[in-house]
Amino acid sequence: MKSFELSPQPTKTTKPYDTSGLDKQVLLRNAFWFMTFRWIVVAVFALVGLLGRFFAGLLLSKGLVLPFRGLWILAGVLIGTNLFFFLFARSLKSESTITLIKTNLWLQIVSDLIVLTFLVHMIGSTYTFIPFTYLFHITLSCIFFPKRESLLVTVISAVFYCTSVIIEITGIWVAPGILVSGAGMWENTAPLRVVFALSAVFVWFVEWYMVSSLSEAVRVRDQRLSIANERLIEADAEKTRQVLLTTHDLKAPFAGIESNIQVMKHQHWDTLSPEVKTIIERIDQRAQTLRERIRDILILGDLRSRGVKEIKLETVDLKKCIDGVITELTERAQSREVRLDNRVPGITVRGNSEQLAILCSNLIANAIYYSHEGGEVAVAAAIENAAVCLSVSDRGIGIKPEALPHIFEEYYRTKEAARFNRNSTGLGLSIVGEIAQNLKLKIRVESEEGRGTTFKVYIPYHGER
Amino acid sequence: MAKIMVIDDDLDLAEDLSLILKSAGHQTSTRDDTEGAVAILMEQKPDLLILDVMFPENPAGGFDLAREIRSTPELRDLPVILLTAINQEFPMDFSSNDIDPEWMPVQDFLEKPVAPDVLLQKVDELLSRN
Repeated sequence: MKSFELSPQPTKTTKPYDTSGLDKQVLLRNAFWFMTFRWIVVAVFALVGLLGRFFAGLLLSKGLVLPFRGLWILAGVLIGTNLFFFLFARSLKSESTITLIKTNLWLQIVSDLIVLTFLVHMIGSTYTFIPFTYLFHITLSCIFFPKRESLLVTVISAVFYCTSVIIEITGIWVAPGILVSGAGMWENTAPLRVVFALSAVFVWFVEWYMVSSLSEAVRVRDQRLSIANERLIEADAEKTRQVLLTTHDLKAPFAGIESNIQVMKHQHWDTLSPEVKTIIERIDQRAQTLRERIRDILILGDLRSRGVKEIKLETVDLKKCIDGVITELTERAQSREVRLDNRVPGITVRGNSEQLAILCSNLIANAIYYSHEGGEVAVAAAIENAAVCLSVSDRGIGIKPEALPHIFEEYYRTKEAARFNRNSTGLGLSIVGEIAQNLKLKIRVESEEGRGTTFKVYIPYHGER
Repeated sequence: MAKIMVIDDDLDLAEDLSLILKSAGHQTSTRDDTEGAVAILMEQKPDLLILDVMFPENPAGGFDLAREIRSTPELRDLPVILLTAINQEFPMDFSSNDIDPEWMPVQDFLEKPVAPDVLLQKVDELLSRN
């Protein structure tokens, strides 16, 4: 005896959220952004240096002394390091390891912190607000890096800054500062300077804690959104697949219904009462409409699932394409006593023959359906600029101006259209719109209610036949 | 024999209903939209209305018309049966339990497709009540 057991499948495990910072692409982009910003800093240093050099007298009268030589030296250092970072970053590609990209960023941060420490020392480390410029790097590192690495940036900043303060307090290297009186006021009050320095460092660590925690929360939320988005896309694709499969499966039962109707019409028609005949005609019509709707749903699904990338562009003989479509639709036109006037010349276009045939077939069939009995549908083509303008005109019921922007929407039908053509699937123009989107074609619709409609499709011109 | 109006944007379905109702001896008329329906109802004075809910211009057109009928003194007593496929379109589980003098002022709620016997039974019930 054979047996089969259906066991529940293990549910997909979700990966733990990654809090290790931004991805490679973003980090590399930020590395370049850092460099661009550094050129601005270089320009500011150079300009402020010029100000200190040429307006020294004026600044002195306001109680300020700008260390212009120091600023120029720092600008020079930044130019050199920035060029190095630029060449280093340019050698990195998207496939480079994250370690290399992070090395570039770390070198930039550490060199910036060194330059910044010199600047802070020159400007005044404990009697101006310049030490708070370290916060820029601390904040940015919290955004770019995981918590531990951003803490390291904060610690390095604190070590550099405290070292500079200690060097000043101990008199190893006393900088004049930018305030003429400020330095003198503070130079003998070492405890106050220590209090200032420690307060600043305390603020940095609070800032690090807040920003790194928030950044981590944002990163986790981003990942949640990204995972949710992926799941939605997967679910949507699966749903579409299921709908298409189900729709496809409906083809066979409808073919069965239709064949039974045909049997009844061919073999038992004379034996049926007029009332029964009316009902059977209605079932036949309904089955035909549903069959056409199934066909349209499958065409639309196929167009969407293939997407733009899979479309093979080729040279299409437009006349041959239109001739084929018109041959297929002639019987339908004759049943409605609509005359088809085909004036498409021998011309070739760039497109996809299969999709162009579906597009033309839908437009011409629509024109037939919405023409009055005894009407005419004219199909023509002319070269306009670098494109072929294919026009399909009817003298049918026309479209209300307010309905025009909606006619390419799925299942959209005006009240008048639904009344005039009860068997419309509501998908014909959606298919036209989808193909136009795939082949990047422009469509212009001109219509006057009660007078008729012209669809103009602009297809890239290839040449004469 | 009663005069029954069917308002449904699917004219095929309206005509099918019409055939069923005619087979039971009723006189019927059909319309495919709710626009100007109140004026037509006042003019034709049917004994009962079978009304769809979703129309191309207004997905809740049937609800709106039912409310308009209740607020029109001449039509206040007209029995209305909602016959709809709204639950197939939107998973909202509408049923006769939702009938409400303000929100859904109708006498009965039926889902498409309806069996002819069920429809005729409901029609008879409502007509005999009036």
